[in-house]
Amino acid sequence: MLVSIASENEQIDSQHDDVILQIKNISKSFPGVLALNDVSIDIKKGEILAILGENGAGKSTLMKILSGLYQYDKGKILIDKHWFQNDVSNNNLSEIQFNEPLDAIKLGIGQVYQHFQLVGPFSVGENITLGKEFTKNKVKLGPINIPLNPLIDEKETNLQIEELSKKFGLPIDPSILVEDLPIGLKQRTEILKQLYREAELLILDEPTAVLTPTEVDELFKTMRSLKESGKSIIFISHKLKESLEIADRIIVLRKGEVVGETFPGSISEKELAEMLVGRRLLSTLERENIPIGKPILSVSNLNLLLNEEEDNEDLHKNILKDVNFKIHQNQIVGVIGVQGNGQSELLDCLVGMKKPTSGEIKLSIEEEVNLINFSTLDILTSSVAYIPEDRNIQGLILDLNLSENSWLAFHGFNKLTKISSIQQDQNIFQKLLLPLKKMKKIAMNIVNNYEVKTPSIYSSMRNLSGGNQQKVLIGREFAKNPDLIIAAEPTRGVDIGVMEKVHLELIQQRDNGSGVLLVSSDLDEIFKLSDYILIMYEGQIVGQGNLSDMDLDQISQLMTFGKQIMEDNK
Amino acid sequence: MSIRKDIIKKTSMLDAIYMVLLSIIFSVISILIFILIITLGGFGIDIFELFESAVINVLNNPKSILSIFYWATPLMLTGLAVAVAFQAGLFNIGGQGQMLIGGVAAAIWAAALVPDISLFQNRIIMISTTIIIGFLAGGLWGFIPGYLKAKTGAHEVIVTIMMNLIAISFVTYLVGSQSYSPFVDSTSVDAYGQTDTISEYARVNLLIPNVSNTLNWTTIFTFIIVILIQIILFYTRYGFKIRAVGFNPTASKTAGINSDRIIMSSMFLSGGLAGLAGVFYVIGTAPYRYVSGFEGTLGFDGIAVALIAQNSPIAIAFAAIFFGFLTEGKNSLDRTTDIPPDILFALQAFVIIFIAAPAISKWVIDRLKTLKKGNEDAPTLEEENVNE
Repeated sequence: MLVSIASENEQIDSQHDDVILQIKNISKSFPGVLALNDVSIDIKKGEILAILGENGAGKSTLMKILSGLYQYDKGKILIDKHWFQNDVSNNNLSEIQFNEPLDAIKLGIGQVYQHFQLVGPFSVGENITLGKEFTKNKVKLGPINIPLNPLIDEKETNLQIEELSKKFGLPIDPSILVEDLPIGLKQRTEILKQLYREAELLILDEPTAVLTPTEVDELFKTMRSLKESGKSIIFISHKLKESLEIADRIIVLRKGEVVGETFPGSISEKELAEMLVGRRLLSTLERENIPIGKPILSVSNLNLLLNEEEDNEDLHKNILKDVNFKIHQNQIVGVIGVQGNGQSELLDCLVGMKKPTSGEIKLSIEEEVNLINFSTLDILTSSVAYIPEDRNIQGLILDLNLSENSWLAFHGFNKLTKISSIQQDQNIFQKLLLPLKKMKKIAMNIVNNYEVKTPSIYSSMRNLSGGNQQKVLIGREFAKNPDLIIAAEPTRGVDIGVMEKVHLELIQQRDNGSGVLLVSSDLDEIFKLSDYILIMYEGQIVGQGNLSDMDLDQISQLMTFGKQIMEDNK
Repeated sequence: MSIRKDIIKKTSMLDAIYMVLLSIIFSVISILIFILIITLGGFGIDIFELFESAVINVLNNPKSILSIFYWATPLMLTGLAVAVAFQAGLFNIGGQGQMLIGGVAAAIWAAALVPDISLFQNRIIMISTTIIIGFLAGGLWGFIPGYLKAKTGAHEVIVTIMMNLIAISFVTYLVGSQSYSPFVDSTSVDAYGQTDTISEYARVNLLIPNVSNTLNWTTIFTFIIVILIQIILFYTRYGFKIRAVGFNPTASKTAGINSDRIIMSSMFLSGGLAGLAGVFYVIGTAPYRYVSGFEGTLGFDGIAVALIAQNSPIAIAFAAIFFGFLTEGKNSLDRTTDIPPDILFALQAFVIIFIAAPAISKWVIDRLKTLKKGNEDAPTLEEENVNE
């Protein structure tokens, strides 16, 4: 054992002149799960390294180790201290231990999280300099600056940030408030924040997840210019296309192990996908064209107005405006649009979480009912399955265990007889007590059908990986035998294997006669699954039609501008 | 809020037991520090006398041991009240007021309103109705903050504090003086601050009369209630909804749980439990009437009890018994030594501070876990939130 490590060391050391950080034989385990197993990765000067992996592959764990949030069980991290501190490399790696996130930040490892860590009502400049502000009237006492006047020097801040943004080619107005920025610029602010703290290595965690295609292009430009200025970037993603486009080198993680290192030029997307999943994928989804049945859900003239009670009409805000569409049996209707254009609110209205200002939502399963008059519980127990967008906040209760979480979809069913698999309870004890046996049965079914990896059905949801959590959520909703499925981001943060399973399941539900409303920020998913699409822009449906009748260009124009524009500026 | 998160995060029973044990160890340490202070401070207090009186004498005396359970009874109920609300994500610090209202309502019912009606001259009917009336009254006092929270978003902490003040004034009015309240003790012209004694039929027997003249059947009732609350919280549909709303109100709402209703009803249950603490004093303790000042700080001590018991009903019983032990030790000191009562209060406060600091025990537990190479450390909340 010792010998093999030693020889490996020599080998690695000999070929690395450019390596600034080396992760060596790192292992980390959680109860019942080996999250990382003997992982070794090098990061070179001025490169974009993509780390690809499905959910639960260990990407996040690895990054948390790099940022000092987690301690590893085995292995070590070596770093080129000279490079990080003086920008001059002496090709000398020394071991380092991160005890807390501050250590990594001090060293110059900057992490840009998927969920931005920004203060909305502060300006861009204030956000960037937070923790290391420019103050007025500084007195220099040796190496220490003593602020005589603790007021923040806004002018100086803005000047410095402008300079910084020019230096790295990331234009931004430092005086604008962060809450007024579009997501792409918020991300840019995050990146600038890390650069301001003199990060040499940037870790971008799923940075494209929230961006529109145009913003993704912008981000990639940014990344390239950062690379040119000598920064190293770790790009974590599960999107193959993007990794192939931007990365210099790709490392694929699977089940906590490095399964391969590859270069974008030498591998096709399909091969990469196979490497990621470890088996051959279905190249296309097999689906028959089934004629649509009768309408299940018809939404007409739906309006949602914010601040309705205000007299001043300027304060009124149309969240949804004259939304009209129908979902039929045997039909998957995909909703596309940049996030925040009313999709979430539309779903809230459909499941009774928000009351629309006007309009009708008609659900016809056995008879036609207007959902507006019903509570969420009534709607969700009328064979409507709802997979909410954010599984951690809306979908699951992480502190409860798996079986309790699967019961969340059925807790109201003692009132209804509609679902045959759940019998109506008879006596008062059954009405009062939790049906532990039934809960166990439901949970076991979900665990078996969806191959949920969990130590037991009584372990806390918090201990499951994101993909497994999503399986539980989807499994419990589909266990209702729904006629209408409202699925928002059903595959967000799940691995390709699960994604495929979810897609097949959705298609199957469609073939069996269900209507599906699919909201997803993943365009590929929509194109792959939908029969009919709706395009939302600023609360309105700006385009709808059969998928086969629309082309990509048309769709992306509708998504970004709400209308089609002429082709002349291309 | 962070303490609340810390508490809720520790869901495993083993951790709960660790926390209780550690808290007790801390309290022992705090007692030692206390001893050090009074020894070196030259107050002229004999430590051995203190120890003998507060610990040895208590444990050697069957009467004192039974008294421990007597003192623990109201604390279990006020502790449960805090715990039920906590499980629903609410911080009910109105136990004090709810207890007063429950007690005074039970006393008025059993002393003034119904004792002359023949139907109520029956022990079972009288005791059960008295308990129910007190429960409903305390429940109402808890329901009001719950209602305001659910309908207007008014924070329950603020409202329950105000409801405590209202309760004190209201009760003082009800039992204050014969000149304006019909419920005040009518046996003497200048009586104030107490009601008439309650009907014979509403009184609860002593449990072991020839050993203890305080311990009565209400303690047995309370143990039953502890088990009942444990069952309600963890084995019923209703308790499931309480916990769901407490852990994640958004997901509960999305799953169709009417969280407003859960907030209101759990606050009602919480208030009712605190109310029972008052009722059990009135029907179980001589002179069987509502007496101003019986409450001490029982309602607030319930918060500390629930805190060290991590809101687990069974653990609350143990924590309350420990508090009962402290109280009895204090009484024993009071009876048999010359040590000034102020120092006794200081000791109790000192112990409570240490007991009610679960953050310290949590820190120790986490520290021990990290020492075990962090292997058993599951991802915690903050880390989970960072990304998926």
